[in-house]
Amino acid sequence: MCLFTLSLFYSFALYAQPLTGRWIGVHTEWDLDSFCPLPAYMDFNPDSTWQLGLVDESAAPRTGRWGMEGRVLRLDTTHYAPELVSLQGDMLRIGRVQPMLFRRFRAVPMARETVWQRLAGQVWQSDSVQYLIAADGRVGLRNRKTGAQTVHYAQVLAMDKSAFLVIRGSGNGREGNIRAFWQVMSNEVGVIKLMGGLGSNVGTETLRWVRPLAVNETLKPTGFQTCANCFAQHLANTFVGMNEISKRNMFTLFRQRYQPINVPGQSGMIALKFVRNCAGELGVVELQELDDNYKRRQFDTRITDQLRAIVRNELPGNLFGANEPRHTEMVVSCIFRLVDGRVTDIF
Amino acid sequence: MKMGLILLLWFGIAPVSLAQSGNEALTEIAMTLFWNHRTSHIFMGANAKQSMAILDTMAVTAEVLQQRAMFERDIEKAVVMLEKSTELDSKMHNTVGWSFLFAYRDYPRALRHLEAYDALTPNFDDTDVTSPVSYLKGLCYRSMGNHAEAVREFSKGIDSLAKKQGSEWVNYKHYVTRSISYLALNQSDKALADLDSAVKNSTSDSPLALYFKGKALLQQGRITDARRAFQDAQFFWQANRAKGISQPEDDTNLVTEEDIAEALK
Repeated sequence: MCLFTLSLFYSFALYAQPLTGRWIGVHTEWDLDSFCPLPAYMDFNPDSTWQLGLVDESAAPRTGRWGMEGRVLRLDTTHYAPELVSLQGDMLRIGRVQPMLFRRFRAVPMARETVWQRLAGQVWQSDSVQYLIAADGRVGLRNRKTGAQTVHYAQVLAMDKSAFLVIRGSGNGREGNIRAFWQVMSNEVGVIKLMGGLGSNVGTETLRWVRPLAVNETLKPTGFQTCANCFAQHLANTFVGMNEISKRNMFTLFRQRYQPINVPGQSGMIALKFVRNCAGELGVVELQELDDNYKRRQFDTRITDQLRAIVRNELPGNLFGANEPRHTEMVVSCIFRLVDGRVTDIF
Repeated sequence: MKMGLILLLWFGIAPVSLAQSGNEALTEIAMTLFWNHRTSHIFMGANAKQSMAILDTMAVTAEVLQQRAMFERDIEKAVVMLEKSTELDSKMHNTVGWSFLFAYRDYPRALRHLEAYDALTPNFDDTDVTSPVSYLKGLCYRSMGNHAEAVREFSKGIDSLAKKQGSEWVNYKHYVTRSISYLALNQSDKALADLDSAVKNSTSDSPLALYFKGKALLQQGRITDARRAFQDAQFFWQANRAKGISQPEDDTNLVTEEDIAEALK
């Protein structure tokens, strides 16, 4: 009996006590290779109150009560089975569907203004990325190996006397979700250390000063860039947001513009997919070309080039007509069925 | 399973809204935290690679193959998995037929699978959560231009249900579907009878049924009656919109507000 009581006490102590305190979001795992920074904090207070808030404090935090019931974590009325919550050292992982990773928060007192003054107007680099940070907040992230650059906005936030570097949005504006979320751990001349998500884990990113940003240095993306940084391309295969009327408009356009070529044997299907960003720009138009038995084949380029050209030249602005939603970006995919070079069905 | 197979439908427009206030961002985070109390996926398509990795470690069964095909972006591979699943379990012909019908619009192949499924229980019209297999077969025939055979298949489900339970139990969209084939066969009397039943059975006023009623009346040369039917369709479209009823009613028989306006010209 004594042993049983002791074991219950030990289990409570093992799980409840280590959770008490403030946790900082690292990322949400969208998929095996897709992690979305989590600019939030979660407080498990000793008086059993619980709070979930944003580091930038742009919304009132959600509050409630928390507790451990055996090995089950309870947040208000929601219960998390033991296998859904894991605590390893200072890392807290919640969930299996889209797991959220938090790390125990340790305050590192630092004035955000000082950090921003050091970063702004300068070029910094980590082992893999060069950060070109303009005084107005624009930042170019340049891959040091490939030279590919994306453009975003940076800002330094303050919470609990600590500073956080947040990179969000795109060259098309500050809107859009977070690209990077770091706590500034040290800020010395020439070296800034950051802590946050690194791939699937938590790690430290060291930025070293390279040079001042030239006044005329262009901060433009080197290629197509989505406005959202956490972009769920896999949703392209779902019906989210699909509208039958938009679909019909798009298909009518294809039917009007496509000039059939009569070549026997040019039969099968072409699955077409592209991304349109919030500014109406189109990314790569991907094609999957299959014969009638669903085996890979190559169609005459007079067909495939035409389809690509219609997408590039005709679709922007015509996709949804007057109902085109603003400030959204989308993955569009559809299938063309062809018989001897003629389009017989689009869906 | 049918909901899952929706993933196979290639056409999609997946919008991502960008203008997000702090409150919306926090709500999204709170919702993700909430859904993480579940042990399995609720949103099909989420964590697709993870799901594929898990399925790839499981024993190959018909069910696993079908689930795996849902996440497969390579159509060539997905089709191999679907076909293989029917070899392992002949009951899978139903969902595979459904996939070829709606996802790939490959009507001859869809029909082949649906016939194989139907043959498993001779003299019995199997019904899944959405429709009898005869209805799906009818859609295949209709899409292949064989309306006589389509009517024969649609009638299996409609007539047997009407006889057993009463015509008021028949899905009004099924009446509309059969009426379209009757119209294609120039049998407007039969089409009108079906459309009257459809109007009776629909739970809210149906612009879809009224639109095709107008078409049937036109076929009979009753111009004034046809115009009244189209006007009613237009009126109820607007009324349904005001009530917040989702439109168009039926993706299989797509009728839009523009179609109705065009008919009224």
